[in-house]
Amino acid sequence: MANLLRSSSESSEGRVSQAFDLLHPKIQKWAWTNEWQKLRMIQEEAILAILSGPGEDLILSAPTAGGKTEAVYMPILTELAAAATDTVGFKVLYISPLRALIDDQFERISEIANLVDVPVTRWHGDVSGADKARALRSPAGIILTTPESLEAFFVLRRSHLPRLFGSLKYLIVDELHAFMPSERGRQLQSLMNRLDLVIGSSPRRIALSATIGDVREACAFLRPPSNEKARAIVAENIGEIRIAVHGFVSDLPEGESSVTRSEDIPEVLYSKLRGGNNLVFANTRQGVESLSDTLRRLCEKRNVPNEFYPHHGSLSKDLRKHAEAMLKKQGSPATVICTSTLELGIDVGHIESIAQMGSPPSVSSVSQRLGRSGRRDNPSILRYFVTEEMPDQESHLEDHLHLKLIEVIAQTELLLAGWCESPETGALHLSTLLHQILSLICERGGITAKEIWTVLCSAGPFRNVSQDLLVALLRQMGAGELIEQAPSGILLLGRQGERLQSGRDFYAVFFTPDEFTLISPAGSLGSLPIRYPLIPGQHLIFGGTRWLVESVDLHRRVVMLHPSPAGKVPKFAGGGWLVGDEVRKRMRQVLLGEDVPRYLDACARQLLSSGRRAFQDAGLHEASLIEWGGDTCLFCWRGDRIRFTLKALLSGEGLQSDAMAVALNCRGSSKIDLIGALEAISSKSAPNVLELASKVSNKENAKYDGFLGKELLDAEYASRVFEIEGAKQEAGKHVRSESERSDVCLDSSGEKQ
Amino acid sequence: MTKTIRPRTRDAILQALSAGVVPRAGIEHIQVGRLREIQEMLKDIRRIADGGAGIRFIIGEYGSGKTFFLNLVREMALSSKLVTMHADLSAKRRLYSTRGQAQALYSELVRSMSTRSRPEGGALPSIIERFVSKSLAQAKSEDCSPSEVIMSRIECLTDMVGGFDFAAVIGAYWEAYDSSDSQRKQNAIRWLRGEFSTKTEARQCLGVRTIVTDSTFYDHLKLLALFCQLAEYDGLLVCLDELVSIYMLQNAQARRGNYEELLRIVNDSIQGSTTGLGLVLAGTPEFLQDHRRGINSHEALSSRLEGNAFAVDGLVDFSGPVIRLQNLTQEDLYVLLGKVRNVFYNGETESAPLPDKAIESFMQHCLNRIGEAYFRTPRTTIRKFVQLLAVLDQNPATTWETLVHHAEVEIDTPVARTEIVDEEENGCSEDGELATFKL
Repeated sequence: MANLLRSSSESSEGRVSQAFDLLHPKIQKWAWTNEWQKLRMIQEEAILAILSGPGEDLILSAPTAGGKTEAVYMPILTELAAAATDTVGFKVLYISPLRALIDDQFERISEIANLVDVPVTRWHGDVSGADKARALRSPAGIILTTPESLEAFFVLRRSHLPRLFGSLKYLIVDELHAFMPSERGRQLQSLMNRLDLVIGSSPRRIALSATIGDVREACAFLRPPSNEKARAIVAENIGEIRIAVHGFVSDLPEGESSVTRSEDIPEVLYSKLRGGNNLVFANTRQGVESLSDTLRRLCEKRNVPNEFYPHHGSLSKDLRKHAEAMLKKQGSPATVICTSTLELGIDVGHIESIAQMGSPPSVSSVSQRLGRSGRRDNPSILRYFVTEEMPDQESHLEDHLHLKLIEVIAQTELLLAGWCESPETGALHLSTLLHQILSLICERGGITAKEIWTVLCSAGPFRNVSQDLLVALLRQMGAGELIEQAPSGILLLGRQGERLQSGRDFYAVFFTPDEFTLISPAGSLGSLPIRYPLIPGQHLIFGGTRWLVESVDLHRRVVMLHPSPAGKVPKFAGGGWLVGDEVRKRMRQVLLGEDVPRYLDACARQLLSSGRRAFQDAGLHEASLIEWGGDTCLFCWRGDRIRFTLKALLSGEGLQSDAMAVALNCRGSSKIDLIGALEAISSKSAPNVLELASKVSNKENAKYDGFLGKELLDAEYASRVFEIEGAKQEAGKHVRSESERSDVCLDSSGEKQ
Repeated sequence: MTKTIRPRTRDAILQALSAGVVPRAGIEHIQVGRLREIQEMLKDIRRIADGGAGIRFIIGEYGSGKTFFLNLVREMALSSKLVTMHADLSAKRRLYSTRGQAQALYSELVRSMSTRSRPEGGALPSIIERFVSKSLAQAKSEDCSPSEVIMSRIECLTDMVGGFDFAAVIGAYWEAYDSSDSQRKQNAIRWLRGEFSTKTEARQCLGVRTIVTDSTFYDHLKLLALFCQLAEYDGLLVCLDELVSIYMLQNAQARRGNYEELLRIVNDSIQGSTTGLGLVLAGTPEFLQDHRRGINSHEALSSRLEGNAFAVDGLVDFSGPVIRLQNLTQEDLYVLLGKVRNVFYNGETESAPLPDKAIESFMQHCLNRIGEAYFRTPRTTIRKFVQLLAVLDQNPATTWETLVHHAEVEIDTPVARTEIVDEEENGCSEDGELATFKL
């Protein structure tokens, strides 16, 4: 193909050449030799915005393989090539969540950067000391790193920071959507802010992201609190994601042939995944163990080398390292079956496809997992394996709805629409704040309480932490010997703080909390990564039985259960995590809708249609309160934060309820009782959130939560989980819609008379 | 008592005092009390001059006058023909490190090298010149070649650790001196200042294989002390201030490394294995006493610095290496203010518009304003007093009675580094609890 960039006769030619003409001649030539037909929309706009814009922050939102990297680096390299190179220091800081991604980007960027003589430096745990020393001696051009390595700069090389980053012009955050909802995102915000303080200026921030629902929120995340001036460039959807949902049915009697049986899952996995590098996400350790064992035996039976390795939090470090190494190793295919342990941070190299057993915890976690596969020109591939029960007359209403499958469909629809969970609004992130305080003490070599307030809270990302709360946190840290105070008032690292700081994993704030093992008098029932509130004395549904929570042993992560007499309960009652609001709303739409998504296989289609039928039959399309076997179910189709708050509020009204997969089941109470309780909730003033939180046992979910102490942990937990206002509104809504329905009934009966 | 002061010294004193810092020169004019301590230090200086060694830890609370005392000792040492060096320890300047901080401390010390004729630092070249000229004189009187004399004189250096290259650099200086090669002379001085960063560079410029590095910090101090004696000075006194910055280090290993180095220095000095080298180190009590981060966290070191168990309840023993500076008393402060007034009016206090009664009244005012702590940290009090004198002097129409009660005296607190953003901007004005936060 000839050079169409120049000779194109399209009507948009003027615009195309305008952006292209701004680029460095050598970069133009590079585009020609790579036979680029034309610049993509996002590239044109980004080039114009970077080279001739007013210097505002930018967000480039495009799907994987949408050309974002070139869109940013072509104009930036043009600018760096033109600028005088005599000032010492890096000009561009690129922050990425994954080492594999950095290595990948390093090659892509170097290819262009070498043309215009701009040095590119990689900086992460796998980079050799000699390379690092060279970069420290003569810092220049572009540095690619992770938030953890940047944190290490602050702790270990604080005196170098002004020299290294003093002349920084651009700070680029890749995969912004991966950072936003997590602790790591808060850490990144804090590091960007601290870097600005150290170098005394604020470089332009550019974020690259997969398609995200709320672009304004992403802008605000990039430069809190609001970042009004930031500009977002959103690309058309052209990246390729391949998704398939395979449905299975468990405990199927012999002879039924219209659906696939759950016993076939390993066989399907074996045939689809063997011979490539893949990740299989099973939601629990038990799932990981049994699946990898079955697959290994399949390999043995067929006399082929084993390619399937397990990876989860309670495996020994050696085994985990071995699994990671097998994935990274070139030329030998490997598939690792893991819990969420490989979702974040850990480097595993190139992955061809992702398999997900059951529904994943959240849309953002699917998008994280998906982001592990399909680099460069390969599509991202995601296969779901969903197992449903075949319900009979005895089964609970929820089992008829096939909610696991519905959740998967809802999440996939949201993912395809470019939606992703927002940062946990209102969460305090005290664990991350604690980490940042320790890091700041190391950076400054001691710091006053007032400086901490200024750097991290009042002008930093922890704006929703009040002074009282910060003082309480500092005192708690003092009591735990994390910090101590010199007579001059300066805060220093304490004994425990020094121990934490000198550990190798100090720089990372993300971690995967342990699963809980559920134990009944008859023995172990299984394990779950329980994120919803566990309150001793309340009930829990697991494996089709209702249990009374006797006690929770946080240290050993064990929940002691006692069987509790019950009516009917569903077989499946959620995976243990908190499902988001938007997902639940979409699940209801999926059940209400009629179109069948393309990515479902035959069995999944069949399950969907039977779920929809049950939904209509139960009258759920118009009612939300359903009486079922002596109990009343409240189907609110809202996120778990609201649902569990509502559950807590109902118990305050004397109404005990069980949390099922989506509904709240109020035991032995009639519809009238429930409406009365909801009315009381919606009209009463809000109860104390901390009191609600104090009853919950399993509150430690972030890395340093264990250091927070009871009161702070309650505050943190309440900020993360409870949503009193939302729950009150929800209660009011159900009361109103029920009274409207009864009005309609009265009217119609009146007409008859 | 009415001896006159040189105008230059007078201005320097007053300027320093009104800025709240310790004057570098003329310090004897405003010295108050501490007689025993000064006598002890004089003994130390005499011992160093006799080829002995000494180490002293000056321990006192914030504002008790440690820096003042260090400067006083320096002046005393300078007038007894010692060479002095002084530096503040900080995160970037440490006794022991692996990332260049000890080398930085060495460079800072050499930069501050002072003699009686060059009291404000930068005396290294003149010390070498003196060594050369003394050698030349000796050669003349003994009627042999200068090179021979110099080589024989620096031979004793080669016995010490790292002394061979040190001697070689001095030799190179002499050769350059002899052949008027100023570039090479400069290189030799740069080497002695610890400014070479690579061995290759040093070999190219001077033909030596080592440079001053973090690990050779103390060895080079000993060499310099010996060299000062060769240049016919009486010895070398090193003053290190802000030892609390070792206590402030956030890494337990880094602290331990520094205490180990300190232990080595203390051992050498106490055992008398160094000659002509004295160290005076100043720090706050927590540096000495804290069991987790302070000297007490290092057993060997703390056992050497333990106080005399019998020196309690007013009994003193100054023979140990630790001198605890007592805070000034009200009476001391009264005398001090009198001396400041004396400096201000150049000894002519009879005609001064500020009588003794005014000093009493000023002190009473301070007591009322900020309570009994004011005389323990005299910095702000003296500062305000100097300002009061200045206003009285330049506005002859006013009387001291009206002015005294306008003086705004605040309590003196350690300065926290305020390199952060402007405070008003971030709504920091209301954070009462944070400003005075106590764990």
